Amino acid sequence: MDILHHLQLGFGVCLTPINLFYCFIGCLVGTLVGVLPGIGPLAALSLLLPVTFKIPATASIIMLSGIFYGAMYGGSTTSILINIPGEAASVVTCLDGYQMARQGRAGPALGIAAFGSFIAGTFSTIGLNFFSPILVVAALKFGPPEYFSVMTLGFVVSIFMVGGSMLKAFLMIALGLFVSTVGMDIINGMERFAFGSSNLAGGFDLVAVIMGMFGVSEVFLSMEEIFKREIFSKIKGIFPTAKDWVASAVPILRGSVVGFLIGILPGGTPVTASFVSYAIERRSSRHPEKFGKGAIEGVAGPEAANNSAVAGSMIPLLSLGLPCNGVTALMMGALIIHGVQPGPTLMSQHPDIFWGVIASLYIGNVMLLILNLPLIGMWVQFLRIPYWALFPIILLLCIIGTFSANLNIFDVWVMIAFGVLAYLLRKRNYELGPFILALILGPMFEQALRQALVMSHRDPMIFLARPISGSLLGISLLLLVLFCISVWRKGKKAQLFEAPKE
Amino acid sequence: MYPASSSGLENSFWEICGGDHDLTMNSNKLVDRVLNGFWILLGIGICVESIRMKLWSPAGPGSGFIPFLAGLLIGMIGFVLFLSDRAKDSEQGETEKFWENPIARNRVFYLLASLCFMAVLMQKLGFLLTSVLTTIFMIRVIEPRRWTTLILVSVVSCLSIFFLFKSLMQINLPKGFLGF
Repeated sequence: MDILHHLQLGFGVCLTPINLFYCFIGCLVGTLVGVLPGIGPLAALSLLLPVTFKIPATASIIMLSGIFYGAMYGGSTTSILINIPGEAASVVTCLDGYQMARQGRAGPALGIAAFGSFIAGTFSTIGLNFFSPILVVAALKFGPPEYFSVMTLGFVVSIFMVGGSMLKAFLMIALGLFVSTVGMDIINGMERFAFGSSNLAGGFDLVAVIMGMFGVSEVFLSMEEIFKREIFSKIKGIFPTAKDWVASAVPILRGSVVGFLIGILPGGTPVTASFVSYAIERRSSRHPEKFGKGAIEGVAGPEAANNSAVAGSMIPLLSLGLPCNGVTALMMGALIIHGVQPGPTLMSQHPDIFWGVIASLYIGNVMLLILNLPLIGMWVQFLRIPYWALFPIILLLCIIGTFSANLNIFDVWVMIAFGVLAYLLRKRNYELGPFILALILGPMFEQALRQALVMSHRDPMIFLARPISGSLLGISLLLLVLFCISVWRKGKKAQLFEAPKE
Repeated sequence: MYPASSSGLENSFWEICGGDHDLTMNSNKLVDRVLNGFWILLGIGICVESIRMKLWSPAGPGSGFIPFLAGLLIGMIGFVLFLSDRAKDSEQGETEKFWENPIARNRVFYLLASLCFMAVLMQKLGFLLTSVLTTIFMIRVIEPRRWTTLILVSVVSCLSIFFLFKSLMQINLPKGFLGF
């Protein structure tokens, strides 16, 4: 009953005209960035971050989360109609969604993607609604050792989730940790790796690094592809048939659960959720041979999973104050700028923000269903923009987003440098996810480690002696050992070094 | 012994990388080796600098502790990757190209040059002028169109972005000597 009472407060906050307006703007911009290939939710959030300085904290976070889940909805449109993922979480939707479009079933593919996203989005919001308060109570008992152990578990999980070379993922975590240490030491104020440069003394700007690694490198990679695309613009019968619903019901349900659970994990992203969901659907299907040839389950499951992961990933942010991916890191940044510290105390100190955001997820999902089904024709028109006219805009947006954060041209150089590095790394099968996670969590990880050791008078046993911390570290170790054993037993030694070619 | 077509620059890469016959400037193997070498050197550099910053203080871990661990991991993994790539090279003879065609390579370099051009001149010429010039250049060299189309698309898109961010969102963009 308490939760329902709080939810009532949340709806009261979200249904005010200003918050409703920003929720709509977020959903609209999110769908647009999802539809347009090359601009992901991260880039859109970075661009709009300076705008949030001028609007109230609740409206800011409502708008930013609208962009996040709106992009998940929009991404499927591009995957289905032109076989290019609008954003990374819709990559697997290309496999069966585009085949469905080629068979004249673009309508049902878009329909099931939107309905699946809506169902999963609502499901995971209910999960967020009930799990967050429970986790908040547990998180109040967290000290530096527990935070250190949660983040360690996040790093281990992110290594598993890359699906490629574990060693390279490990290296990316180490690189992310190193980059996060550049600048001033948060404990004693000492300059690290700045070499006398005033620009480096403050560390690398997160927006510049993210824009470079995801925005610029994406455009570089797209330069190797042919710009001409075939668009399936004749869309009829957008409502799935009874047969489609029967085939999709269980995948949507499974995708919702899988996506939610992956979203909660530190390091779990909508991208991973969609890949895991697709693998589960193909493995559990009676007709796995139909996957890749237009199986509706291959659209329903992953689309449900990536939407579900969005609300899931809000749980560590709102309850623990831990941003577990780039998008939630920027949301956290937006809140901190407004003087709001996400974490266990958010629910008690700023219930309007905490419950307002949760209520906005319910409302935003309804808005997105309306935006994505009856207005699908409008989004198709955006797909007609040729890529040669689009890529300069994407690069200009990256430059504006980077420059406007600190009005410093050095950040633009940082963006270019990280863009080139990410281009090389992505071409040689290095995953950027673990790098970004380590970069975001790095300062908190270091602070937690050092504070814990100060607390224990330099005794490292503090991490094992405390039950929650010890259990989390035990799980991390167990995961590593289990994975190494399974890789070794199956004779897949190469997996340790080599990323799969597909 | 280098291929006859090798340039001086290519030769120096050969010397650094051990002089395998199937290495060219455009091979994945070379990029891997350069990356692995970079990781090893970066790791060593980080460790040396971290030690200078002190790994341990009376209160616990010092400023250099986490960077030292990160550097150690980077260097060690770089070395393991270097060894595994060497072992793989001896098993596989063929060389995959880093850029499948020269057009892709040229496009990437043109883009990089455009970004550097923007970063250098944005504050001198102002955002609007620099972005229009850069956009014209990028489209012209990457996907050539008729000049009228090219200029129209560049001017309209840059003006729209400028108006959206400068006027509507009130974001500060560099003005340059022309005042816009």
